[in-house]
Amino acid sequence: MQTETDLVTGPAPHWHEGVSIIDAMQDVLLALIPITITGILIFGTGALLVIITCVTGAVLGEIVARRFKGEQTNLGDGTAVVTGLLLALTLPPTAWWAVVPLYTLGGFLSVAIFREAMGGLGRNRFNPALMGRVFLLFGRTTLVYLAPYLIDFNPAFTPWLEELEVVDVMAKATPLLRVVEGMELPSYSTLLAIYEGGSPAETSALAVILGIIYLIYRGRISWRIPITTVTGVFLLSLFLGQDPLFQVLSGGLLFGVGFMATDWVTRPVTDTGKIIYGLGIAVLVVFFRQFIAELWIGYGGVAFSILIMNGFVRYIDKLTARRVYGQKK
Amino acid sequence: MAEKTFRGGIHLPYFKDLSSGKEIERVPVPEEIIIPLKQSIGAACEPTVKPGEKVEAGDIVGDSEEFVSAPLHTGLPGVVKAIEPRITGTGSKIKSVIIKVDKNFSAAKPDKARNAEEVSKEEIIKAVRKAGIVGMGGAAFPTPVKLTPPDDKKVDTVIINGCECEPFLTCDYRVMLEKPKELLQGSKFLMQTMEADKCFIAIEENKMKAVNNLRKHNTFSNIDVLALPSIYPQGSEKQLIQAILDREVPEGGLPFDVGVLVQNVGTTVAIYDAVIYDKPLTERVVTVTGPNINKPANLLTWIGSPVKNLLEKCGGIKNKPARVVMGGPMTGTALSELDAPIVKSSLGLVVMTVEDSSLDVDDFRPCVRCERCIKACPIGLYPNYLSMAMEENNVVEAEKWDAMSCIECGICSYVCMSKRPIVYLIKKAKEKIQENKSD
Repeated sequence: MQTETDLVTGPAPHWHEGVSIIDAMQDVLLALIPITITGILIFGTGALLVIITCVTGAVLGEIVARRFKGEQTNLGDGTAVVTGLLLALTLPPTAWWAVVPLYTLGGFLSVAIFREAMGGLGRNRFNPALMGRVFLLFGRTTLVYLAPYLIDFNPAFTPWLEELEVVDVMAKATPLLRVVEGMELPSYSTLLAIYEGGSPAETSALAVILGIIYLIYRGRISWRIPITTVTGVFLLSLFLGQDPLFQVLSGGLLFGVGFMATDWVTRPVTDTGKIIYGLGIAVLVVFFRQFIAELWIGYGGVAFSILIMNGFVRYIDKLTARRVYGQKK
Repeated sequence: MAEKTFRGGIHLPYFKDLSSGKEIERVPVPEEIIIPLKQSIGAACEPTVKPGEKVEAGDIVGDSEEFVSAPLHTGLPGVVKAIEPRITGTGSKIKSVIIKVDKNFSAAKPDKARNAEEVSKEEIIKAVRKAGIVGMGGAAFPTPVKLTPPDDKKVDTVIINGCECEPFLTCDYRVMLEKPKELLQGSKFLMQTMEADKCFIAIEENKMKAVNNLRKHNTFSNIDVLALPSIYPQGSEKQLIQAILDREVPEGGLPFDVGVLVQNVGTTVAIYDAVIYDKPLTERVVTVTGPNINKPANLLTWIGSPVKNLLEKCGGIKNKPARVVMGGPMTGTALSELDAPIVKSSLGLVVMTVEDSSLDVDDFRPCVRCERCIKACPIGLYPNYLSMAMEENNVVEAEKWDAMSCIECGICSYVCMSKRPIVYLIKKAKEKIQENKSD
């Protein structure tokens, strides 16, 4: 006997390829392994501490925000973990004790506010990890002025920290800060392999490039954004009389164009749009570095450039939509 | 030379092996047949018989005066039991002629065959109209309408669609293996009718046996048997025209706007039978297959046979609950009742397990703009934006993103990482846009 309950109905298609978000997030995590490892090798426990705090914060951010919105959490899709890790890798790894609550808060806000409150997964217009980074760097500066006693590392004040390896943020200036300060510049090979300054995302261009190539190979990101941005920065720097290779290899540029500017949710989906978006980022990065370096470098010209272009993505998409079959050529 | 192809598309697992080796066999005579009075695009038919009336095989049971319509015949003799709404494969009830089948009948021999050489263009169109032939590849568009385009439209190329790009289905494949001469002569009739000088029989290269078989039998110099790459949805009319001729059917237009007529393999053989033997369209080959049916088969089935008869013939469903899909897994409809009849455009029954079927229209995850649907869309749409618009019921936005150009191939939902029922949402958008237009 056939009863109606024996039949399952629903709209077509009646099967599915079976690929889900977690597959892509796994690829992103894999692509981030070389950077994470070089980061931990160079900065030691400090880097690990930052990663743990940011990821924990991000996960908590999803749990709390979704509960607040009355939606189901879906930590299994890996998006919160990826956001937390991306954020962590762009932060200066320091075992300075005050970062623990601060960076946890950064991770938390990245997901809870900059993603969930600003539209939710897939609808937020600005890259949550970058928003978190900007928040933290502003927060750090604010602390420098408001509570300098927290910055002055005082062993007597926090004796338990003596055990941890401490990397002073300012002693190891980022390459770009060296330009501003007129310090000696690191060589290309140092930048490419291991440069002990800034954040894990800035230490090894090679590790970053490896990750980007993997993501392109896996079809998770398009070559258009990284290639146009890098080419744009290279040519514009050349035009402005700067060392183009140095501009490309230093700072967070490669990490930014490979992992932040390619974030699915906040980049254009059209092919032409990606080129425009990439070039826009390139122009902004070069502009920030050339003209207002002193002001911006501490916060990352790349981060701001990407966030500014994020704001135009939906318009870029509409303006550059491809021709639909059957419409006039 | 670059491989002939169209934009987007994906490789699907085919699962043709389940039934591709099974010769076409007859389905057992059912107790009753149910002939829905609307089986094609266009006007519904009015019944031409009354309850209690005796009918012979081949009798007309429904017809319409409208140009875009096709008469309906019974393939079996019996008595009209009732004329009442019955459940169909679309999920809704349609007024149907129900015939209690008289099982004591002898298969009628075709009285006489026409000579293919002596048939005129007018006779072909007349025979096709009389036989009630509609597109048997799924669209169910009345064939005579396609054969008589407006005078200013000149068709230079006929494409016989043997792509069968939907996974699992093998009915067209079996017809190409078992009826090559009929198919080739039917194609010739179509060329003659359209006064076309070129004909392509297009087959995906995962069916090389069919390609070779047709090439072997082909004696016509202006018919080419093409092996095309196996990319879904190759068998979609618009994609096929683009792949073979690099022509695009204009938005809102029809293939004759670019000088093409596309006919499905099964339809072409039906046309042959209609022209040569005056045979009405009362039976078709239906593939019964899928991971959840015991004995897959290709069944020659009387139009109106209940689905359950075919499933019984194939040893029944393995595990229940099951999803019984009429048509292919990409575009077919899941049946809500197994009493639904086979109609002229029913390609097959694909019996899936519950695990295979996964789309949930009420519970799906947010779009993360991964672009997989954009890359796969053969029309060049942005399914992501369409589905996001429809999540907010924003029909205006959906129309801006060209919802009306969607061919409903289902590829966007199939690849969606968030298992979003994208094509379902686009169909909803199209319906609403149509409604707004007619208001």
